[in-house]
Amino acid sequence: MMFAVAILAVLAALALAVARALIGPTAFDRLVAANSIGTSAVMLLALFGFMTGRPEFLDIGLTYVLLNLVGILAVLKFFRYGALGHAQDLERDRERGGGGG
Amino acid sequence: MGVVVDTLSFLALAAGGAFYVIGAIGMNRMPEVFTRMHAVSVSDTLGVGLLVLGMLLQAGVTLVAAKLIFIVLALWTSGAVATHALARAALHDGDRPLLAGAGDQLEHADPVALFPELAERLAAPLTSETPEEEPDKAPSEVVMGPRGPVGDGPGKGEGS
Repeated sequence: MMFAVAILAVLAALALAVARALIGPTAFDRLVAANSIGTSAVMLLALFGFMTGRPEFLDIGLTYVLLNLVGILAVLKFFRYGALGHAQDLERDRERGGGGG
Repeated sequence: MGVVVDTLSFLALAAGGAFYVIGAIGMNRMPEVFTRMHAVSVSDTLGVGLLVLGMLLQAGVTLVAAKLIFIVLALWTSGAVATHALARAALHDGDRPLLAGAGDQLEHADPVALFPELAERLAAPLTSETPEEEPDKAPSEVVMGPRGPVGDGPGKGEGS
């Protein structure tokens, strides 16, 4: 029962984060919301596993944490370089006059 | 004993859920991206920490507890890293933080006026390298990318 309360709170926060992701005027606002959505998903997995007495859901949550970090950093790298590639390769492509990968 | 642990667990879960929602509300009500990151950090640290504490009390000393500790450590570190990278990217993209100006009006502050040492860092292109590596780099070598100047990557000129 107490897990249900926490799940409801996380679901409310998830809805608010989705609202911000849809509204967010800049791309960075959307990224903040995306990061928050990822965290909410992990907490939902963990809480749901505890509520149903199946803590195996924690393994999935652990995977989501790592995927979330990699995803956010990938998007930020895209902002920085304009492409997702190794920095040296991007520089070489640019010097040759081509577009970055 | 069991009742005490259950009560503490419920208190931690309720407080964690409350902080989690407070952070999400702040993310919607704050005026611009830097303050929104600040609000989200509440739910990313205190909310997650208290929720996991509540689950830890239920799990006891088991493998599940170890997994929970790994999850919370990963969330805390990744949250800080993502926030730092986001703020840096937003600042370089031209977003300026809102601060209290004259007459309690919020205005976009110039961070260089507040911290003069920032001017060099902000004028320099974003690279993954430390800024003091090549201090006398000629500005004519700055390459314009799609979103502003793009730095000379590490090892430029050393490649084939």
